[in-house]
Amino acid sequence: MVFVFAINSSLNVEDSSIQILNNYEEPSPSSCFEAADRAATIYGLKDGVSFEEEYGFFNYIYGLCMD
Amino acid sequence: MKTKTIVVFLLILCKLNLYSQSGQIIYEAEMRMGNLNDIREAKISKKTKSLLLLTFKNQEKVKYNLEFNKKESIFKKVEKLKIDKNIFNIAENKIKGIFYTNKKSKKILHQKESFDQLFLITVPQFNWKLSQESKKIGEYICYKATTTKDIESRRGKSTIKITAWYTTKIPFNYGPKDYNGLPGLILELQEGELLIKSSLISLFPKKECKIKQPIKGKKVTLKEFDSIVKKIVLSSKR
Repeated sequence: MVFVFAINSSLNVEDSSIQILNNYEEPSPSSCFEAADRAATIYGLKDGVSFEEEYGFFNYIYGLCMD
Repeated sequence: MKTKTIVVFLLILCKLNLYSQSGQIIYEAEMRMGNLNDIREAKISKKTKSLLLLTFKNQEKVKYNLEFNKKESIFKKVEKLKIDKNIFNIAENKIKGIFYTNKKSKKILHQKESFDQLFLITVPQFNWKLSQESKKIGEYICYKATTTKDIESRRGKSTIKITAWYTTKIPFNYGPKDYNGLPGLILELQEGELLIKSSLISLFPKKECKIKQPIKGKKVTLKEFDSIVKKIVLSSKR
């Protein structure tokens, strides 16, 4: 993990940090909340998706992430 | 001769009385997700992307049952035993609860649980635009009818297109969800990306379908319900 970070750090520290977090981070309420929030927003932007449907989708993705 | 005609007429009447004026249709609902390239190319974290793709790729058809008689109809999900993993189904998320239609009173009710509360929503009738365009679904010639539905979402207010294919050969003007009021039974319906297709039609059984109108739940209009949901969703931190 450290080795990957070292190679990537010459490119873009921020990007590589996010990549490592995404690949190796244990599920946590805050990271899962963020991922589910983003996923639900993307889903909510689709045609004909109501507020209620988006909310249901968020809850599912959050649960899936935390599992 | 006259007696013979009366006997034949009575026999026909008896035969007709053996079968009820009711029926049952099984529909299958699925989401047409299109290609998922917009998600693959989206500038989002790998975690979000994989969660989205995992969900969207694993969509299955969901079965619904429409039971009807001359006066009323009821549309609800066919319950099945859950053996496999609990994958979020987008079609199911769009068609929740029970839809009831009363032809005589022109009443449409939608009973569903939302945010831990049971609602009984009065739904307005749709105004259909009929067309001469036709296609064959199974053995039935179906005609096209269109309407629109307004939805308020994160994107603001939008209108989605509804296309129904109905057959006049089945003279019951019901259909899936709260869609009805056409000159025949709806066999296929497209609501945005949601596609609902009939897969099994059973007409005139010997025993008439007995339909129970849902009565439980907080009585609201569709407008009131939408406003309640919007308030809850926007005020919650998800």
